[in-house]
Amino acid sequence: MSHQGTPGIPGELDLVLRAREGDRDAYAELVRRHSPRLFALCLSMLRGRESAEDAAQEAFVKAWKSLRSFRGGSAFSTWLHRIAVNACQDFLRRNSRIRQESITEDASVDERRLREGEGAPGDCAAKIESADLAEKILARLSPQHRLILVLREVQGFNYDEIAEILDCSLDAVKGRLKRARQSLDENMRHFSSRGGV
Amino acid sequence: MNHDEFKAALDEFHDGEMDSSSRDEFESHRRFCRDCREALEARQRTAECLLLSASSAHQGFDPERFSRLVMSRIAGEEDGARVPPWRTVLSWRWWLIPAASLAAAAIALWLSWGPADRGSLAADILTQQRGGIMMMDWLDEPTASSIGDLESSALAVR
Repeated sequence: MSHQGTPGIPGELDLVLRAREGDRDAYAELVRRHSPRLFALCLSMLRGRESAEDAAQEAFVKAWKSLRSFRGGSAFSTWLHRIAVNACQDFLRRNSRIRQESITEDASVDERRLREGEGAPGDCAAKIESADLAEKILARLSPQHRLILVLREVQGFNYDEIAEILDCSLDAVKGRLKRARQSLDENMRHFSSRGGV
Repeated sequence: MNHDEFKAALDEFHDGEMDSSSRDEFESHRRFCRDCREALEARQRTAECLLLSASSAHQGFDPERFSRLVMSRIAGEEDGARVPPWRTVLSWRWWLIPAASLAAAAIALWLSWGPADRGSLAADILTQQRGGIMMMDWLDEPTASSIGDLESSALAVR
């Protein structure tokens, strides 16, 4: 993360300090920089693009309101992700019934599509050739498993940062990550065996 | 470390969370252990699958448009929070407290009057009515009858 910034392009720390003083232009720049990652995180948990965008917006609005409480102890990105995770969890609590229905519906369609897919026998990952199908396999995981996998594998956060975002211990991060990977492997094997491999 | 310990530490190796000496140990074990090698390759494929999924998720997402939406929401909330003084005056809440106080004061005043006061009030009303009847007697016949008609029609309407 660039704190100093290159000539002509303000650094993140500079933008955060200006935004804390109420500079909306500085905050708009921070939103532009961080929104793709935050949107991806929300999408991994909520799956629907519209819901993900709503939750990401909610997170940025909350972050603006509590910007004065950001002391810089952690990276701004880590702090933002923590707010986004809470926004997604609130959203899931409000819409638990809708979520369950959507997961069940998607799973049956995806199984059929995966069985129709091509790939080398025995190699499940090779079978998942399209990003769409990869995304659909992830849909079979619980939101918590998807979240931790995305934080680690896609966003590239280390264990300490994940512990801070999820507000849990380092051991809990390791345990959750292991279970999430096991669950993902099981789902891949499940599709693979259903495909007649 | 034995094979089981290496296998248990596979995630930490894959995630780059292993210290350098354990990492070197794991690297040399991996060269000779097909099981660990395959498990690690599976981890890498899983990571690719996740990255593939994430890359498709970004398609169609416009940070510029999103930023505008967020900033207009922030502006809307902050401007909405600043209520102009004239809106405060017109708000029903602003009128409710004095109106309720006035009503309470009126009730208290009414209750503070003793039963004798209330009786004298009733007597005053009766006197006024009687005065009206006496006045009717004093008036000439047609005027009194027209007033009487007016009173009876008012009663009929009621």
